[in-house]
Amino acid sequence: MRKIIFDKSATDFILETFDKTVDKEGYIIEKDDPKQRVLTSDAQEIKKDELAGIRKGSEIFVKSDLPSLIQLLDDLGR
Amino acid sequence: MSIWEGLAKLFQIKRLFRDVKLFSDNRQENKTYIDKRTQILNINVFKIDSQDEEQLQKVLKKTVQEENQLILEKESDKLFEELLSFDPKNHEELDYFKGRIPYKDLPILRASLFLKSQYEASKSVDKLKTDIMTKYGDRGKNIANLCSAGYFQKIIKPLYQHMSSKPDFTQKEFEARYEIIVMQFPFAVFVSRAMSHNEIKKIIIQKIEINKKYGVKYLRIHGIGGENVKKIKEVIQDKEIESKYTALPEIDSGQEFITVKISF
Repeated sequence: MRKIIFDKSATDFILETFDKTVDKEGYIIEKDDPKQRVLTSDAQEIKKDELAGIRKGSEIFVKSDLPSLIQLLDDLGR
Repeated sequence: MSIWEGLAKLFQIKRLFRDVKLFSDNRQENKTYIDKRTQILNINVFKIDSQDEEQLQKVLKKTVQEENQLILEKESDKLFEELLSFDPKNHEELDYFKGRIPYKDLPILRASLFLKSQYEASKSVDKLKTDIMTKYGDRGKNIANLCSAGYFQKIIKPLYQHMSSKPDFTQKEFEARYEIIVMQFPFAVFVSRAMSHNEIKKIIIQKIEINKKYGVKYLRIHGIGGENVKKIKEVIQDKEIESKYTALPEIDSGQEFITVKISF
């Protein structure tokens, strides 16, 4: 399967692509509703430096820790 | 038009490329280039003009929202690929424990088996261990330690086989024993960097007393890393602990790991 990956230096660009930005505490928030922090599929708030990626299912944000990536494998049926 | 065709058209790419990588670097002149070895189309988002930026964002958004495309950060992608190619033998081990250990422990065991495989391949596991502890707390830490030391294969699996061979076996009874192993690991001490000589000594003495009470006559002490190897070697020569031995300790040690079995 062909891939799209991004370097950490392009994280802001990725967030902007999906109409997101970051609050003072480093959490990813909705650009048009700054009080709304973005949640992962298990309802956790996610910081910019924890972002592993985004997947299908409208826009599901994934954290970069090991359990979250294992969950991603399961969700993708790999 | 696929995303790949869309990107080729947007940046007027004539050559074939496989994957796409986005980065941001104001020192690089090129806005795009293809790495000949990896065939990755690299896009410097810092250098593209606002019109291209808008188009690129449209393409990326569409591909996530409407197609089955995953966008991953470079380091996470590396870990994701390692998880994908994870040794199938470990899945057999995981499969064995499905329906035997509590359901909530299966993702912890899966993560721990991966951690063990990375450690055995001499890769750094500190972050992976922290990830497991952050997500699953002490239970996660204990399962990771027990799994890394091989206790799921050497102790828990034989325990299940032994117990389930009896006619009056119940799953509940096994889970009660399993719970003691996971939360108290009476037969093992895992030494971490934060533990002092006296803390290790205190834990060893406590476990010796508990084990003796239940007729268990041994204890294994595990450590990873040069500092822990040194600490354990010192503690097992402590007079108070030595006085409890009924045989010389069995030491399996390298520069970066140690397992000591003491009998009492």
